[in-house]
Amino acid sequence: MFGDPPTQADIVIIGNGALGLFLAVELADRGADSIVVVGPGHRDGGASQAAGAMLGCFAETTGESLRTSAARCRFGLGVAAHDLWPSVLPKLQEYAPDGLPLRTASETHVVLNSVGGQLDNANLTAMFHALDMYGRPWREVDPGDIPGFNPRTDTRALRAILLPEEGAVDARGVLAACEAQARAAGVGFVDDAVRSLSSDANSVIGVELADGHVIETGCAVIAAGAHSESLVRTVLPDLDLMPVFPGFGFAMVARRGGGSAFDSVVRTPNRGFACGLHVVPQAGGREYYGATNRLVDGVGGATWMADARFLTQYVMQQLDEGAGAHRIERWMAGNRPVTLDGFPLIGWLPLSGLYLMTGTYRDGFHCAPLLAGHVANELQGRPGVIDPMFRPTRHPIATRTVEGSVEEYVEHSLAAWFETGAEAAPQMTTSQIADHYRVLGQRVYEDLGTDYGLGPDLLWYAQQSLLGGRRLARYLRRLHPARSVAAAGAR
Amino acid sequence: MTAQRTPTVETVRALVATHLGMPAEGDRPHADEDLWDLGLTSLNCLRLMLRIEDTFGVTLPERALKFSTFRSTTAIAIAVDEARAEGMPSDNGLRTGHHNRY
Repeated sequence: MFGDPPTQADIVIIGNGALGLFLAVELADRGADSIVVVGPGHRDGGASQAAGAMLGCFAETTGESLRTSAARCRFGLGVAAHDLWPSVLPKLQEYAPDGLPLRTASETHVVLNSVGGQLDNANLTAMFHALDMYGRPWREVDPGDIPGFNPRTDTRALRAILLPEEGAVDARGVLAACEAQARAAGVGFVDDAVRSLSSDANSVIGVELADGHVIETGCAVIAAGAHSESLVRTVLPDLDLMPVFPGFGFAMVARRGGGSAFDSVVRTPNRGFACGLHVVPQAGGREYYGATNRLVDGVGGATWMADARFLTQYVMQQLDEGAGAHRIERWMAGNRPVTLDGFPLIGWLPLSGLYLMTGTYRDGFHCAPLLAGHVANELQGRPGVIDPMFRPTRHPIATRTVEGSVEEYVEHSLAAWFETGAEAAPQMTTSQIADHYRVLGQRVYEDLGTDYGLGPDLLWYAQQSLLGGRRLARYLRRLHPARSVAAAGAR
Repeated sequence: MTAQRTPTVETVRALVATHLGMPAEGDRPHADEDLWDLGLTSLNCLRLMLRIEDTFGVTLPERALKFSTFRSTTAIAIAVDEARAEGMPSDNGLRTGHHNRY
């Protein structure tokens, strides 16, 4: 935007990632005027700018995806979003930077290798179940026939499944196109961060930028990813909002140094606390490799050396042993918004004019077109399209027992154990290693003093971070004081 | 830092002793004894931290939430007294005095 930022807007969208941009386009398409999107143009640390943007939901299936009604509802959002993308892309393509093709792959191969542990098999079985339940096509193919796929012999794939309806887009291209489309429709953009929101007794009244400038508004949508919770607290400090943690991820884009290129997404099932190892074709002879996932105390942009080692080594081992000669053009770090219960936070907050959309974890990009329609409806006073169970003022949705949570944690830990090449004495069996992790997991529950079953990523985080452990313990003990007293008394 | 037997230090000592399976009555751990040598680990530090916060009714500042804070009863007592002096409000897990930006 040229000149000073506006002093007033009907709707201020805080966040210029996929959720904020698709919402801006949707609102503009519906004729809303005076929309302003606020967010730093560089998008550093944002989840969307680092995304692989696989347009896939079935390849992401885990044993949890369809096990409970809440998870099935969540999974259904992904499927509904998937079906929207074909109608979204043609218009978006008109605004693509330099006319680059936004859709960079039209199908996905899920490969099962022996690196990742039993979790890979379990998630693959869950994927077949989901595909059949929704009547979506898939077929088994010879791993040797996948273009570009060239793993080392000792980590070669045992099976490969083709999902002909799951592709990918160029995330960074889509963000640029979406912003261009919004600008063309009259949406204003402010290249700055938001410091705080302000309110009178009942309503939001303004948004203050990092530089002190204030935009008056009666309607603010917080779509700022892992920053969203702290922004909410600037106007609702006492709201018992569920904690949201940054899920730090690392990925890279490389230009091929030779060999045959991938022409589809090739990935493992979800594994080891993360989204599986994957390659996503990009325009111009480039490929995207992702991704790591680790819950962290604060949003950051610097990658751990261990993450760089993890990703580069496993790409060379499991996807393409020629990748060692590829030239890395871009390292990307993003912070996924991860809620305590793993489900999104979408809906009005208890302050008139304040709306929250975050907590989308690893598929906010994928779900953005669907959520844009939903939120636009709600802002316009019309019925939403997604289940109200994801309202932001809810208590955590319970989908696991403590015992189930610990077992899931054990499976993820074993997957990480084997993938990272950890070794035990030859006479030590896998079940003995599992016992070790089981004791660790049980111990965290004793420390936290809760019987709310956490996801494996959160259980891992509670062990790693005193800050994270305290946030979880304090929040869960406030929710269920009686249980925490009982747990403390049982020590 | 001189190790003084303040009421804070004494309460911390008793809590730590219980946590590490030592007699609550008595004088160990000594004020500057290395707790990590006595059985404190990264796996049981969280529980000790929560118990200290609960006992004193304080919220340790974020900068104190590192394992080195729990190296000795003296170091823990200093962190507790600092938290009391700052009068930190109840924890919502977020930094205070931190500009929210992204």
